[in-house]
Amino acid sequence: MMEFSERGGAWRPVPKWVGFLIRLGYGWPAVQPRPRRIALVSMPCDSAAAGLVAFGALLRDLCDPQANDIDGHYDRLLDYARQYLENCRKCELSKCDPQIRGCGQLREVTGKIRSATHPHGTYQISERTSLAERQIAFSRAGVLLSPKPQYATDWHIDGEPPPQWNNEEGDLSADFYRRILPEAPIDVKNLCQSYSGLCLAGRASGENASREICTAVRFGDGMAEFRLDELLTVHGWSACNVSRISFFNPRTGQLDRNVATPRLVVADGDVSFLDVIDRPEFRKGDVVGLTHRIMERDKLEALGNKMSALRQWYIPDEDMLCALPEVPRGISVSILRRRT
Amino acid sequence: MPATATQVFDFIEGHPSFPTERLEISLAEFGALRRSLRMIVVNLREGGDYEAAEAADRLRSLLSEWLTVPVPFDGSMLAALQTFGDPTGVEARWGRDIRIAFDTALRAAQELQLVENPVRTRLQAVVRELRASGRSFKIYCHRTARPHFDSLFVAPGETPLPDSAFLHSPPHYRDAETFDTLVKIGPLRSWGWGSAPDAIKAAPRFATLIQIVWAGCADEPGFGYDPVAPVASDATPREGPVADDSALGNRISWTPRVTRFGYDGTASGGAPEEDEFRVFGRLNQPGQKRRATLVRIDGEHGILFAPHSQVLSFDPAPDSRNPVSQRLPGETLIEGMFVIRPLLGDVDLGGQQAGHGQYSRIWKARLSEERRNNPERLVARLRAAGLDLACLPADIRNWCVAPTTVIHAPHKRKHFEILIRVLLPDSDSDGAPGRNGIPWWQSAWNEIRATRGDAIQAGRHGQELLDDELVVILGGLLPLIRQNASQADGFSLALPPGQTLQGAVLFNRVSLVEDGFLAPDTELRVVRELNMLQQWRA
Repeated sequence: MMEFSERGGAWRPVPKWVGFLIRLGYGWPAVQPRPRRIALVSMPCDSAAAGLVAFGALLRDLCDPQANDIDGHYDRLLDYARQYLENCRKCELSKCDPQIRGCGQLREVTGKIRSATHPHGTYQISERTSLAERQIAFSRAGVLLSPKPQYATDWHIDGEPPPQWNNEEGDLSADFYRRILPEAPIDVKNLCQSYSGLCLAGRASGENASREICTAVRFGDGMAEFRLDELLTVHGWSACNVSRISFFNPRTGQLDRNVATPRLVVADGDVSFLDVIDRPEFRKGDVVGLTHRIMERDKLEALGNKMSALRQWYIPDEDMLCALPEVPRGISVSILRRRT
Repeated sequence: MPATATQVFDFIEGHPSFPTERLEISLAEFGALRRSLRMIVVNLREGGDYEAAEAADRLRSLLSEWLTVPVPFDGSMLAALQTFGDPTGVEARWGRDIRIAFDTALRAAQELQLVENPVRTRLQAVVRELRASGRSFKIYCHRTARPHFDSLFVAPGETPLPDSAFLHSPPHYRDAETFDTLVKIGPLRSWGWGSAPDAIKAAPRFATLIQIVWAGCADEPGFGYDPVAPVASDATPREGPVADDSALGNRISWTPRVTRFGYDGTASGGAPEEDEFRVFGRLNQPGQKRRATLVRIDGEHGILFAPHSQVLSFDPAPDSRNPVSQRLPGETLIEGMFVIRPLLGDVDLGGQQAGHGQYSRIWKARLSEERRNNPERLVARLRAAGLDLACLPADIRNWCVAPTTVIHAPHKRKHFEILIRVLLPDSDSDGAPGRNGIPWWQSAWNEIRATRGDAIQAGRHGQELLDDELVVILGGLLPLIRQNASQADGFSLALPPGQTLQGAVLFNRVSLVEDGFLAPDTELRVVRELNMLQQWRA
């Protein structure tokens, strides 16, 4: 039986509140097209609630054969090359600031490409790249490479997870994910493929604080145990090379990768929720905010006022509220759905 | 060690309803004091000028404190009222009605010295009972109120209250383990005097709430605010969707029980006591004011910042990634860090370079000398010249204090000009004139403004650009900043020559960050004395 431990405490059956949050993420609708949804969940204490909802959504995505970054990867490399050659390479700002520059980009790109099969050393996007002919070229030590689109998944943007991991070590463990939610029909192909359609927006105080709260939560079954931060597969949080979730740092205002709009953003805390809800890069995806209630009134009111303001364009999603598993005492949930 | 989330959920699950014991206290003499002060505050606020409003705010502060803190009924209440002047002066300034109410208040404050504050005796009894029954308890109060709680348990044979028995802020409450009883003096309010976090009702960590309140002081409607769904106000836990069906509520419910102590619970004449907080709330409409967070920078001074303000600051922690950076008060700017205040040469200060204390040394020396020689005559001269402040002798004493975090001086420009014209009538022709044709008093006033931060506030946009530049420059001075920070809670640093910005930078260690203020824009980002800032508690 799967057990749970928090902050190094004794192992115990997975508590109701943990199960509820995982299932909230797991049951979040993924089918497209659909109206945008925004949810706010308030908790009676500080917790890893956002990590747990994100984990549930990650399990959901593991079951979806379409949830990977393979499709369109070559287009992403082309976009990356375009941004580098047309903007970042020529930018005169000493510190990247797309707002001042007015370049329309989200963040600086370095033009570096890394091989998934030989990850030591990087290649630089070359001027020989032909954007018109959709042909990327990159070079290292005088060697020029120009991979065909069908082999593009062997290459990935430096600093980001590879779209596909073909080595024996470094992919995800299907067994463990299955044991946490036995009814989840996990697609094994997804265990070695990265995905950026799910995003965890961290705490206002930065990535370390977001990770720390997840580190305190462990799942185990006597044979193996995993920390929540490892299970989430945020790039750089575990030894795993595959990353099934992107990370947005509200402190720096940056995503950990160049991606199109995530389908679902799980925001950790009031500041993070209020930040992502209006960001252009997240305006099309769903947002689930998780916050505790032990804070000053003005911060609580800022959240309440935001939800009230959204009612101009959104209506309560009663169907989804009714479909939720029993909500543990102490948790409040509000879900809004865009008027159609 | 804070309770884990699982412990909190188990605790809530184990309490279908949380009881509230509300102990309401009445006392005729205190009722008389409340009514007269209430009358004065309302009249001065509604019909008075700036000075009347200032006096009303000070009275409001006093009464709010007495209603929410277990203060002893000793001479300090009377002394506080007497700082407003003698009854004759009060009548001359504000009229007969105010004088009568003021007389009543003085009389009541005098009579109160003969009795023990019943809130204190009740609190003492509650704590003794909790201790005798072995129940764990905590007291929620403002940090500055704690000595009044401690003073109840100093007699021989009493066990003093330990630090762990107190909660002072939402983060403090957040870090608490679960316990049996929370004790709170005064009504449950989210703002101002005696304020407490909504989480007390929306996220209880304790099984029972004991509230000791003066009769008439009601809890703020809507206290226990949950941004997602309203808290249940009766004993019936709500199941399923609540309010507008857009949310699933937290199903935490409360069972109130009221016990009354004292006389019959009504004011003389049979009218029930009015709720001062509701009355003052109407006077102190938030329309012209903004929510603010107080950052205390030493024992006497603080700065109010609007919510979500970016504050240039220094983090002395050795592992800090960006030691000099913009931070949010209470979020990323926390106790132990330093607030950075630039005194830059290119900020428009009327042409003068704001050397810290260059002008103040001159006028303060003169003021101290005059006060030493003949204080009565000094007060009379200033009053005759138009500086007619209610507590002028006390103000003069304060202005004589040597510059510290700020230069202590009159708060209004008009008053400062009068002060200088009386003290230094020949200041513009005695060899120390202001520069570029600016009057000497104006240069001295600019110096005061710079240390308070007024100049910064006046040009926020420009300041933000300067701050970015300053972050880069200060990044190069980190070893020096760290060295100074390890030795003092406040220091100044001259910017090295050759940089794009010239001038000095003041560093002040943050001793406390506190929410719950409602202040006009003119009071934001300005260094003020803490006792002045109390008036902006909402």
